[in-house]
Amino acid sequence: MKILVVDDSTTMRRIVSRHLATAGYTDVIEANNGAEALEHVADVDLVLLDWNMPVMDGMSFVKEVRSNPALNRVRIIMVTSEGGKGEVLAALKEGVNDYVVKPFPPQTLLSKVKSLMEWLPEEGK
Amino acid sequence: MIELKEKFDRSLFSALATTMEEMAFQEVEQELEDTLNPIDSNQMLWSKMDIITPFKCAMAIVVDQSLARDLTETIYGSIDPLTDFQVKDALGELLNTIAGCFLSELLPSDIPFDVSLPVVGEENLPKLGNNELKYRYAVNGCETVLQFGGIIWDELADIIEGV
Repeated sequence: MKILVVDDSTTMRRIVSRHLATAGYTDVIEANNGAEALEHVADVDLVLLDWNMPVMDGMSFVKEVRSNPALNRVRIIMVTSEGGKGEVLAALKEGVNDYVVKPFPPQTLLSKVKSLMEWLPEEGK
Repeated sequence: MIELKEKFDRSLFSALATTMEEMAFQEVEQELEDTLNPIDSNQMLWSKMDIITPFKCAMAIVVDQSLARDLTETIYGSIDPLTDFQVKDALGELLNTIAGCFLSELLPSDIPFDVSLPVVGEENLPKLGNNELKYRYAVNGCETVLQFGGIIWDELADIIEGV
C-alpha cells in the first residue's frame, strides 16, 4: 500500500508522514508540487494532496490525474487550509475522493485514509 | 461595525489556538497588557502573506526565533538538529494554516477565499499597509503577534453581511 504526500511545505509533509507512520503506513513517497507528483502517481494507491502550491497546484493535479483512465484506481484526499464550501464542492466535482481541512487531529486524517484504503480494488480485479 | 470587530477578534483567536494546539501542541492565551516582554527586533522571525479574495489585506505572524525553534522541534518531533530552512518553513506553514482557519471562521461558508503563499523573514517586519492592526498573544509563555494591514472594514462588512 503506497502513499504519495504532495505539499510544497516540508513541515506539512513531515506532519502527514509522521501521522501515517503511527498507523503503520510506512511506504510513503513525498513530492514538492503537483508537477513532481505526476511523476510518481502511477506507482501509488493514495495521494494526500495540498491545494495551494507553486508550479502546479492541487486542483490542476487532480484534473490531470482524473483525465487519465489508467489512474482511476488512485484515491485522492485533499489536505488544505481552505475549508469553504465552494472549495470542497469544486474538489469533489473534479474527482477528489475525500477532503480534510488543516489543522486536523491525526485521527481525522487517519480515519479518512483507512476508509479509502478499504475500498481499494484488489490486484487483478 | 462593533459586532464585526468582535467576530474578527474571536475568529482570529480561535484560529490561532486551534492551529497551535493541533500542529504544535501549545496552548494560547490572549495577552494581558504588559505581561510579556516585546519581541526583540534582532531576534524576530516573521511570516507574511496576502489575503487576495474576497477582501484584500496583508497578514503576518511575528515571533521570537527561540519560540519558532521550539514550535518546529515539537512539530518535527526529531532529535536531529533543526536547520534554519525547517524553522522558517514551519512558521510559514503555521501562518498558512492560521489564515485558512481564520477565514473559514470569519466568512460565510459559501464565500470562497484565496491567499498567497507565505514568505518568511528576519528582523523588522515590513509595513503591511494602511490601518495596521496588531494582536498580541502568549504561546508557551512567549509573545506571539498576529498583524494585519490594509483592511477596509466597510468592504469586509458588506462581504460578511452578503450585501
